[in-house]
Amino acid sequence: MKTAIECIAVSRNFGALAALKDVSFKVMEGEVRALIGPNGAGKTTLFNVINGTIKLSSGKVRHRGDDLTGLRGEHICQKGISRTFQLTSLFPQMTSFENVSLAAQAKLSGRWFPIGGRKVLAEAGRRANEALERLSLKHIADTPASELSHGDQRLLEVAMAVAQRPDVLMLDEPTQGLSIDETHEIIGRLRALLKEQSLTVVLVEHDMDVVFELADRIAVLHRGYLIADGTVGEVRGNALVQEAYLGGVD
Amino acid sequence: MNLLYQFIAALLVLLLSSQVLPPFAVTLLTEVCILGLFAMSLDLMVGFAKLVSFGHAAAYGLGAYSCALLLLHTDIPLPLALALAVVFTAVVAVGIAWVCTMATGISFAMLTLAFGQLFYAIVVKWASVTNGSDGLVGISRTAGPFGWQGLASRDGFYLFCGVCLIAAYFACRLLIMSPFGRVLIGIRDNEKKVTALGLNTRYYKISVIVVSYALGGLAGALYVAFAKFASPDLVYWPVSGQVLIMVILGGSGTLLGPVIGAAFYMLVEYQLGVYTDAWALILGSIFILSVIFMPKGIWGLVSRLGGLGRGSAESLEEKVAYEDRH
Repeated sequence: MKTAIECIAVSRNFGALAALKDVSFKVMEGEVRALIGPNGAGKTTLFNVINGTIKLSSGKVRHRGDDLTGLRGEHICQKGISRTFQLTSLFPQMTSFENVSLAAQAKLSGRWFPIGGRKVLAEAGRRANEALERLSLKHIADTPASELSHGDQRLLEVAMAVAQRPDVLMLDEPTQGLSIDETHEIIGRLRALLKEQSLTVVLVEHDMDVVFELADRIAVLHRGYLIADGTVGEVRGNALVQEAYLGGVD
Repeated sequence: MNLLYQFIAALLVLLLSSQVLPPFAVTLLTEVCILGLFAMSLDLMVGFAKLVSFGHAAAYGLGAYSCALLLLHTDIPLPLALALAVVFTAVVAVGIAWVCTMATGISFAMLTLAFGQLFYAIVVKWASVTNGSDGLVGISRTAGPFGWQGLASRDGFYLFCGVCLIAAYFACRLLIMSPFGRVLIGIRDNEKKVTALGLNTRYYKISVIVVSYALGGLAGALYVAFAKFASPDLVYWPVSGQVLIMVILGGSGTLLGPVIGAAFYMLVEYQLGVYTDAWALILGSIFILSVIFMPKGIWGLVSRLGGLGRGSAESLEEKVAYEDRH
């Protein structure tokens, strides 16, 4: 298996606070990799360092051997790394279809055509329909995003990332703020998506049910350190992880 | 195709109006066309990319003064002078846009205002070229190209301004319906997300500002040819405020709304101005009420009352989306 994302000795300081300390890990092609850890462990920081939202203080991030270090978010996205946000980020006044279509358009070479561009829009629309289909969202295609339920909004954001046909899909707490039923619904749809199509996924998640359902491998962060990295079974049995989660408050 | 028929229909209406209307109405409509074009140009920024500018007078003034100087000092035909004024405004706008887009929101608005006032200061102080606060007078719009005299006449110039407005409107519609336009609307809705989708929003913002200034410059240049003088008042900040009022009053994000807003503004100014000096007070009250009770402006009210655009489609982009899907 090839490496999709590689972090080499990544550190990030916010003033005196070291949010990430010397974190090195690899995400293999086609695997679903979860980043977990207690609050303030640095998982969101690591997530944002990879997708370029946050600059790292030292270290390197590579994507298929390509150096991403210091690139801005939009360039990293163009290299094939699409993300969702922890707090749903959509175009509220557009319909679901238009949301996904714009996401798909952003990756097409004619995305900036000021006149005409019918072909570009048609191709974007085609990809949008495909992505909506994948996540079983066809029935809400014409609904304005602001009128969707919170769960559908979360899924719509995933559909937008999927429509970009990313090499690596980065999901930031996809079930954040959802009820138990809605969470199960989303897990089901994500599983169906992953079954149909081999995708490399980096997932930040609080909810352990979601992590154990979806993840192939888990990286555990605690106070900026990577304390465990392995399969679900390995991480579950890891003493350090149990310490961090159960007795971690000192 | 649909668009082409609308284009031809608009031209026919324009031609007809020049034949049947009395002279004073033609003069008034000429000014409506010019101010409407000016307001429409600002709507591209405000209504479609949420780039609120308090300095659009800079575009008007740049077009006006460059056209005035060309007409005063050279013998080139009017359309060429207009074209050069538009190009000049667009080139300067690249620089303005580059600086202004370093900021967002209120800071952006303040920077546009600063540029507007900068040009006002230049116009007033650089008297050897601009004739300072006296302005440039004695401008004539004589021959069109190849000795054609049409543009010198009242009706001919009205037709010309009307064609400019109609052409600009359809060009803007095509722009909004294009992939570029989709990105603009995305920026208006959620700029952070557009960036996360892999687009550098600043290039798009700079581009739309340049297009907007170019059209605003065309309006300013046409005004000079219409009024036959250019004064620093054209670049002064109240002009920026007035045009913003026209856009919001008419309905931002609709292109045609701001044209109606401009017509309405002129109507109030001229008709009420006959009876009272306090017309601005009344206009201000109307503006306040319209912002509260008609957030989509006159255009929104008209389309709601008249069921315009297939019932529910209130704004242009909804209409566009509708046309695309069907």
